[in-house]
Amino acid sequence: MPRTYETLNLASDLTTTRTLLHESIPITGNIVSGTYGVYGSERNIKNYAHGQFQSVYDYPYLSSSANHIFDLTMGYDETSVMSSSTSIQNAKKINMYNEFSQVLLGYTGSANTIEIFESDLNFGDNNRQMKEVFFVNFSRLLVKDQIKKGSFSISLSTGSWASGTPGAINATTASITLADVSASETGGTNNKGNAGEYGVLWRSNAPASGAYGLVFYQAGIAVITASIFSSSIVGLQQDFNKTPGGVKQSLSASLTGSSISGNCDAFRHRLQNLSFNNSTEINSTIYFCRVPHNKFNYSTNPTYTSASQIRVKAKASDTPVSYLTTIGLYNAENELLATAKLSEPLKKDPTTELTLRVRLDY
Amino acid sequence: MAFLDNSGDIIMDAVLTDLGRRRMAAGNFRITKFALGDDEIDYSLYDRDAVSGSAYTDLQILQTPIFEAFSKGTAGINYGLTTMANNILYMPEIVQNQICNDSAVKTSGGLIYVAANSETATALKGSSALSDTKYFLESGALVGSKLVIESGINSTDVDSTVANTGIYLSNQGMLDTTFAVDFDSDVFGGLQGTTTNSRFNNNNSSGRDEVNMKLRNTGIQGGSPDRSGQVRAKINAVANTVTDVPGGTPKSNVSALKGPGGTAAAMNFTLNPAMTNTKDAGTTSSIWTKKGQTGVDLFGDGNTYDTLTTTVSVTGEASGQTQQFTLKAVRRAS
Repeated sequence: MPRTYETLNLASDLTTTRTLLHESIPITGNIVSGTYGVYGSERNIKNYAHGQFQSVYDYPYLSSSANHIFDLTMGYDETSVMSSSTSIQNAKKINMYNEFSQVLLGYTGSANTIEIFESDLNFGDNNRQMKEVFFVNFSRLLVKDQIKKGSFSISLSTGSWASGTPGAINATTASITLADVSASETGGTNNKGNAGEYGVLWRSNAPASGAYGLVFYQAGIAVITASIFSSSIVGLQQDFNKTPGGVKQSLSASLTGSSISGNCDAFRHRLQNLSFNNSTEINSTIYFCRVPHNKFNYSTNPTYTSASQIRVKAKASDTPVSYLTTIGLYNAENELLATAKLSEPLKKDPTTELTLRVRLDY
Repeated sequence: MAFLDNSGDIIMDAVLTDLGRRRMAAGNFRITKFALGDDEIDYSLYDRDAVSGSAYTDLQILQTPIFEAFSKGTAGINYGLTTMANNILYMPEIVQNQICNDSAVKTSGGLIYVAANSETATALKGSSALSDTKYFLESGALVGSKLVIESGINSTDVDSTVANTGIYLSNQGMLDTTFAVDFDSDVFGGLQGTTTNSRFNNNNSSGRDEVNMKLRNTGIQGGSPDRSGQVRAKINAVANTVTDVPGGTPKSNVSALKGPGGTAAAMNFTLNPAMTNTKDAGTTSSIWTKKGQTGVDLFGDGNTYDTLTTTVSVTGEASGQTQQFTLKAVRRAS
């Protein structure tokens, strides 16, 4: 007899499951600044001629070992006080803000005005608007299917620029930690935007301390208000940024007087720690391969016979035995679509019935 | 009272094959059946008479390490488990017949040569190493040397009688009336199989052998479901009624089987037309270069040949038994 195929009853021999896998993604500040070169010329930071964003890698990006971990950019709404024809890259900063807003939130009103980011869960009430923001756009490599709700945390330095080492931040001043502490799988998020759910980033892990950003879970984007570096919050007056030429810039001076990449450099140098858990959704189909007692007891393996006699039998009435190591899943045309292996040979004879569960992940 | 061991729960993760990925990409991925394989198992390790007791009969088999899943080719299910009645003791084998009329004979290296054209055939026959047409097939030829196979019981424990053919083969559903032939379509462009008026017996009315295996061209059915990258053609078989007839031609003069025969078939192969140029035609097919060697002085006689070695699998469609043959295609290059 040729190879035996056993037909699966697709109503009773098949089930599907959904499993969420999570990975912890820690990003320390010295990866994104300081490790691979001095301030302004890090080899793991790629800036582009268009100047609209910069890409951050975990290793010098010219190396094949480098992984893209996130893109960084900033922008402001056209109604922001920062918006001025004299501002450096004014149009591009507005364009970046608008692009993120229209993709993540959408439009409002009969004129289809682009929404403005708000540091709350209701972007339609025009409260707590964030008109000047930094965008941290994480690579799909890290985010996988989505950021796990309630796991996002980012710590930013609020210290002044230290003298001496280029780009160093004075460590004596406390940092700010933003986290989506009120978000969970069961609530604390908004899903009315255009890009899935988002949660609010609260300062110091306590909602009462104020909200300064949003995290879009499925899109893998964090939106952080620039005002977190303003004097009213952290006391930064003169030196949010320090240009490679050594000129100290306040927050407003930097937002208007430095390019997008210059502001991204400043933000990146203030990034101390960043962490989240990603989520991967695995959908599985489990096939219950039921092996009846009276089937699959012989083999067409060339070693199964010696001089035509079945090796496992001395006489015809002996019990046939076979040893299975592999399960093949076939379509109706007998095409082998998937295989599964046992860890050790499994004995099969007419006294045994087996149910082998074969899981196929998608 | 101890608890029962329930650690035997078996959950296996499946790996998509190349074909499975293609079917998924095409949107027609639908699993409807399963089969079981045992390619890693060497049943010769089964010790029916283990002196240490029956627990040791399959100890070595059960300790066989298992490979991870393959995603290419047959993915480790080249043969597979099968279902038969519980009282079976013998299973048919496929053997090459090298003794009947016009049957090809393997060289000492276990190879069967396939000459690309008549020029090459002439050169092979003239070589000191081969010197006889029985040592090679000629591409596409319907007459002359051919690869002859038999399916039947290859044991002297069972008498070669027509009755035993019925008992051990026909009644068990193991009479191979057709064979599936899998081969590399880059190398072979066609196949010749047995005609229905072929004969394979030694018990005609005169008690003489009557072996006359005729060939006709056979179409390729499509891709082999069992061997990735190969195509499949099917050839018919004729009844193998060579038996021990008192006063007749001895069975061993005609048949390679030691027990009752079931069927017999013959085949020849047509090389890819691009590979059959004569030596003066100039262009050498890239297939010789990519899969074989060119300009080899095979026999030390100054003639050089393009050569290519390939494997052909023949599977009995009723018995499920498979036999592989190694063919060496050759073309005279100079």
